[in-house]
Amino acid sequence: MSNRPTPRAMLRTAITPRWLGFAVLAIIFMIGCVVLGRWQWDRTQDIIQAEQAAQSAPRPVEELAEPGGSLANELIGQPVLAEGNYESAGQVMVLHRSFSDRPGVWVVTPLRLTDGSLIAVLRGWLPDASAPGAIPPSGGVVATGVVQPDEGFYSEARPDPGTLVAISSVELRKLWGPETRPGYVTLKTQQPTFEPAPTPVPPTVVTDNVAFPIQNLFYAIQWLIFAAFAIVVYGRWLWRDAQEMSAKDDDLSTTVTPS
Amino acid sequence: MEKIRGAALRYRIMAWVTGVVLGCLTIWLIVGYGFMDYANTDVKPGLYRLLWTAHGWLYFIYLIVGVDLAFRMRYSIWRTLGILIAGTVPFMSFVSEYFVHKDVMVRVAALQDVPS
Repeated sequence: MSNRPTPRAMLRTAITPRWLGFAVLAIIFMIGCVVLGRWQWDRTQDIIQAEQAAQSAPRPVEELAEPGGSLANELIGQPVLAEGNYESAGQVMVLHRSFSDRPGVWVVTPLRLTDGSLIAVLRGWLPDASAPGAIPPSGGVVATGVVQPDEGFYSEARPDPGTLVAISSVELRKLWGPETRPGYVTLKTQQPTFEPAPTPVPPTVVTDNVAFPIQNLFYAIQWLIFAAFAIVVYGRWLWRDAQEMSAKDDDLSTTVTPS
Repeated sequence: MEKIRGAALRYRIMAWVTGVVLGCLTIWLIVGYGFMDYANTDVKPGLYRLLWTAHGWLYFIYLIVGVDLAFRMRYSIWRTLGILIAGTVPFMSFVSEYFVHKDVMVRVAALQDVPS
């Protein structure tokens, strides 16, 4: 009874109208599964893009961390919006920073936010500390940029007053006071515009990490598994029908052949 | 016969587990979208998403045990498909399980009557 059907018997069963019909249905079903799987995969991509777009919308810098607090890892690289007045008295030059192979300095200026706290803004690069553009605009500005973490190297080195070797909000707090917020912002745009200005430098750390929509990814995988299931069901039931058919053949042959 | 019993028990468990999870999720979905603003993605709780993901994999196990039982019971391909699809329709897996269980009982009783 449970003898294996021969490949011949399997083939003979497969080409019966009934099993050809099942084969067509199985193929249609599998195409449907692949289409639905792709749809879920596209959705996975769409959700990632939407989340990245939401993340790249600038947030007020006040929202990210309190003065004296620390910057959460996932906020590094966050585009921000800062509104306030530059305080030229606190401005520092970060030494030994080249731009397009030209030596120079980075200009870091404290921005007094509307709530009274300070955020360090890396306004950009200048060939030297007295080049035009060193003086920050007076009057209110709305700046956008990207939040960066403190630079960890040589942060305590202070060669001359008004200069630093690395941007560290811990050191800047000593210069500017306890209302200084952690991290710093690399300036991207500034309203109103002001000339001459330092050359903007790209942010060192950018991130586009977002939560992965695992549910949709799983659905995409599951649709493909369902497609594979159609093959399993088709194959197993065909096998059984072929088995029954060859069993009938055996009965027939035993009755026909004279013993 | 023992094998059919084992397969039927596995199917029974999975029909109930997927049925309960899918039933709960269906009610949750209706309440959530009807009264709790679930169309807005931010308000959906993590457990809700997690359960849908879990249901996807539970249904996958349901398929495996369903195919196994249907093959052992020598069901036709149409009946097999009916059992498998029942797992995706809310509350239908209970109905399917009821008929399959009844059928298994009859089959097992018939096999017991035959002296081996």
